[in-house]
Amino acid sequence: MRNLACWVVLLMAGCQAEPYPAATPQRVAAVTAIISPAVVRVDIAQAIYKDGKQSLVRGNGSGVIIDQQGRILTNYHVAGRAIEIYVTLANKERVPARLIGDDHWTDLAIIQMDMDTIGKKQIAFSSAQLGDSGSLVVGQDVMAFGTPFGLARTVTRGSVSNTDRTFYDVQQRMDIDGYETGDFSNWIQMDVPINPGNSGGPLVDLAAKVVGINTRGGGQNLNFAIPIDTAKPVIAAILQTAVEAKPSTAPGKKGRVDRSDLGFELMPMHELEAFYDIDINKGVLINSVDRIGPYADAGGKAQDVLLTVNGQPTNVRFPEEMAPVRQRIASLPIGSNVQLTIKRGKQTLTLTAKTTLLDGYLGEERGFTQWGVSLRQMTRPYAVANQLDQVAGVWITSMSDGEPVERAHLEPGDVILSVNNTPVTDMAQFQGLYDRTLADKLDRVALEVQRGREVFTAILKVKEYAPASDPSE
Amino acid sequence: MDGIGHFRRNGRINWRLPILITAILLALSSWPARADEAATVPDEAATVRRMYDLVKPSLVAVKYTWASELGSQELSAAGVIVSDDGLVAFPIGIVTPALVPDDQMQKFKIVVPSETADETEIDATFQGRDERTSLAFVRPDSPRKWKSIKFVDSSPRTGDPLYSVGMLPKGAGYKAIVTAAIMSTRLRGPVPQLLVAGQLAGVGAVVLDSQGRAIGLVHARSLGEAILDNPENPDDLPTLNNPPRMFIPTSEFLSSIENPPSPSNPIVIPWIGCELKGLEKEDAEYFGIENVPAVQVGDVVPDSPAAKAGLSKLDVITRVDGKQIERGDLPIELPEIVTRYMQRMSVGSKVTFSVIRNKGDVPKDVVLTLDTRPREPQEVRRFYARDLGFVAREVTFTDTYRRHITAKTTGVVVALLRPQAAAQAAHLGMLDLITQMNGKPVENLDEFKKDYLDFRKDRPNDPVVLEVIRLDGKEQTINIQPPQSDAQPG
Repeated sequence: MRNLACWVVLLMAGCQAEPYPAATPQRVAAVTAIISPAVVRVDIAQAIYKDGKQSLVRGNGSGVIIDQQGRILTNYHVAGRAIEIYVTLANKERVPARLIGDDHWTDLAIIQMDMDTIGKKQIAFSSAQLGDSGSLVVGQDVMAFGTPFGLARTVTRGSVSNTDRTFYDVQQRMDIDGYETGDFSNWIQMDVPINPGNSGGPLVDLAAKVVGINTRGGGQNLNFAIPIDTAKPVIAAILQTAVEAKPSTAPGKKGRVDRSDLGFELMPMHELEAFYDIDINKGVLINSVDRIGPYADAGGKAQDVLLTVNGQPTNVRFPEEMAPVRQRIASLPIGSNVQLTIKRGKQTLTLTAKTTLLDGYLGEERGFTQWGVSLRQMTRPYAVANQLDQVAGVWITSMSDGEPVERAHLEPGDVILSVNNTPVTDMAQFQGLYDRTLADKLDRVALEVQRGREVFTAILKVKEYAPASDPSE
Repeated sequence: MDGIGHFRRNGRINWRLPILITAILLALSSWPARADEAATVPDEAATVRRMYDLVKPSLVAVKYTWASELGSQELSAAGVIVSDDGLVAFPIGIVTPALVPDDQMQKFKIVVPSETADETEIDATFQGRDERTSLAFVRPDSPRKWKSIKFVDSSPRTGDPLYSVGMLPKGAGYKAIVTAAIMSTRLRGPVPQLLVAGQLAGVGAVVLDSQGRAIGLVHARSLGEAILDNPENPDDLPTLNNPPRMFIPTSEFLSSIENPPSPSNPIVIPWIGCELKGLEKEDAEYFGIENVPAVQVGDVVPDSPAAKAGLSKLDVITRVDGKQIERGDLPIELPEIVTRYMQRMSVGSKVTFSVIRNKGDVPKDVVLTLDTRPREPQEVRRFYARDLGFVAREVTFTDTYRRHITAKTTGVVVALLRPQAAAQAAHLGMLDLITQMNGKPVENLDEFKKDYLDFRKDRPNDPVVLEVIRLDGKEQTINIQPPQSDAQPG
C-alpha cells in the first residue's frame, strides 16, 4: 500500500512540470499548514420574511481570512443576508463577525471579525494570499479547505477539470433564492470533493495561494469555484463603498459593487452567422430588449447584432464568451453615454445609449407588522418581467393570516400603487406613508392595487386587528 | 373493449355492487308504500318507475372523434333529445372551448341504446356550442321522429322530492339509471346550482319533480366530468363512484334549447372589454354603498365598448340597467354574474351602468353598446408544420393583450408542439407569438404557411430562424435545426 502511494506520487510528480507543483505529501502538508490558520467556519442566522413576519434561518459555511484586519471572504449565499454571524477559527476559538458588504451577481460577501474580541482574548490567526486564477491550467492539482456538512477544518484535494465552465442558458438564468448570479464570469471546475458547508472556503493551488472560492457542488466529482480574479475587483469595490456604523452618529452602509446595465439580453451568435450574414466571430445577438430600459430608449430592437461598445468589439460566438462581454458592459461608467455599433438587417447603425445602474429582479424587502405583510421595492427588471407599465410601487412577498392585508383579500405578487391616494414611488417613501397612517391612527387605509391587468381599490381595516404588541418588532 | 369484464378483472371496482345498493335503497325507500297499498300516498316505487320510463327513451350518447394534429381520440357524452326532430343537447365540457376547435370534432354519432339489441349509431352533425348555457348540440343527418324531453322552468322548494334519470357508460351497456333525492338548497352564483340530498344520476341526467316535469339538468364543470367513456381510464364510472349532487334549473338553459345554434347561425357572444372585480364588504363601506353588490372596473381595453363609453379604471358600478346586481355567495362571483347577464344580450344592444368614483358621488349613467367578443383560440385557423413538429394558429386578441402589445401585432401563435420534435428541441414554447420567420415579418397564417412550405422545400437543410415574443413579453430568437432525414416523423 505504501509502495503504491509512493508510486502514484512519483508518477504524478513526473507528469507535472513546474510551475504547477505536484501534490506530494510534503507539499500538501506544507500548504495545509500555511492555509488552515486562515480558514474559518461561518455560522449565520439569515432573516427571511415568511407569513408577513421576519423569521430566522440558520446555516453554516466556510470563509477565508484575506487580511490582517480580520476581513473574511465568503459566498453571498452563505453570509449575504445574514443578520447574525459567528466565525470559528482553526484554533477552535469562536468570534462574532458582521457583514461588510456583498454581491449576489458574483456570489461573494465580505465579513469582518470582531477585532475587539480577537484583541481581548489574544486570538491568533493568519490571512491567506490571493493568487492568480488566470494562470490555472486544466489538470493542475488544487486543494479545498472548509466545513463540509459542518465538519470544520476539512481538507480535500483533486485537480482542475476545466477553467472556463459556463452555465449560460437562455431558458433559465442562475439565481440564489431569486437573486441573479453567475452573469459576469465563468467557473473553475474541479474534481476536488466539495459538499454543502464548503461554500465560501478557499480553493488553493500547491503554491499555497487562493485561486478560487468553492461555491457549487455538482456531486460525482463535478464541483465549481469562483475564480479569484473575479473576486479581486469585487473585494476592492465592497471595501471602498462600505461605511462603518458609528454607534453615536450615523448608521453604516453595506459595501456593494455598482455596475452598468443597458437593458437587453444577449445570445451567442453560434450557428446564426450565416442567417444574419455576418463574419464568423463577429458581434453578439441582442435576443431580447427590456420594454423599459436604456437600449429601448436608444431605439434598439431585438435581433440587432451588437458589434462594438465604444469601439471595442463584442464578439460572442460561444456561450463561454458571454461573461467577458457582459462584464465589459457592466464596467462602463454608470449614467454615461455609450456608442453602440449594431447591424440591423443590411444596415450598420450607431446608437447612443445611456447606461443605468444594474438592478436585480428582487429589490429590498421589509416587514410591516401592523399590516401583517412583507413588501419588496419595485425594480426595473421586476417591472419588465412582470409586464408592469412603470417602475413604481412595492409588491407583496408574504402575508400573515388574519392581519389587515390578508383580510383585504390581497395576494403575494400584488403591487401597491398608492396609499390613501398618494402614489408610491419606492420603499423609503412607502415607509413614510405607512408610518404616517400609524401616527395618524387611521383605522381605514385605501390602497390602489395592481394584480396582473386588474387594478382595484383595497381597504385595510387596521385598528381592530392590530396586535397589542409584537415580539418580533 | 369489454368494459364489464375489465372492471372485474382489475378488481378495482365492481360497478354492479353500487347498482345493487342503489336498487336495494330504492326498494327499501318504497317499502312502507308497498306495505300499505290501500293508502292514498302514491306508490313510491311506481313513481320512480314512471320517471324512468318517461325519460329513458330520450337518453342517447353523443360520440365523436377528436382529430387533433397529433392523433385522434374518440370521446362520448351523455345527451338528451330536446326536440322531436332529434336535436340532442349535451354538456359543453366535452367540447370545452380552449381545447377543441370545431373542425377537429369529426364523425359525430348519436348512439341509441337498446335493451334487446346492439346500440344503434346514427350519423349526426355538430350544431355548435352555447357557452352562456354550457350546452352543445348535435342533430341527426336524416330527420327522425323521436320522443323529446320538454324542459319546464320551475323552481323546486327545499324538501321537494326530486328524481333524476341518466345514463351509464358503454362499459355498462348504456343502461339508464334512476335516482331519488330531496331538494336541499339553492346556491347563489353566476350559475345558480341546486343542491340535493341524495344523489343524481350522472352528468347529463334529467332532473324531474314529483309531477314528472323536467326541471333541470346535471352539468359538467370540466372535461373529465363530461366524458361518458373515459378513454384513458375505462374503469372510471364517476356516475356511480362519485355521483353529482348539484344540477342547474331549466331557466339557465331554456333560451339555448329554444333557440339553439346551427352551423349557419352560431352563437355570437357579446363583450364590453374591461376587467371587473367584485367589491368586498370593506371596500363597499369605503365607497359608502353598504349592502349594495358592486363591481370595480380594472383595465379598460382601448377602443372597446367600455372605452368608447368613457368607463375608466377604478370606476365602481353599482347598478346594471337600473337594477341592483344580483348577489353572489362571494364577491368574486359578481363579475361573472354581470358578465353572464350581458352575454345573454345581443351584440349591438345597450347596457347602462350606474357608476361612482368616490364616496357620496351621485351615480352617473354610462351607456355601453355591446360588441362582438374577439375570436378565441379555438375559433381561428391553424397550420401544422409537420416536419418540424409545431402547430401555428392565427393571433387572437388575448395573445396580444396578455403581452401588453398592440392588438394590431401580426404573426402566428404556437398552438401545439409535438413532443421530442425539432421545434421543441429548439425551445420553441407553447403560445409563443411568432413575429418573424427567416427575417421576414409574419403577416398572417396563409403567408406564414406558404413561406414555410416554400422554404422547407427549397432549402431543406437550412435552419428555420423564428423571432418570437414569449408569454412574459420577452423576445427570443429560435433557431430550429431541420431534422436529419432519418429523424423525420413517420
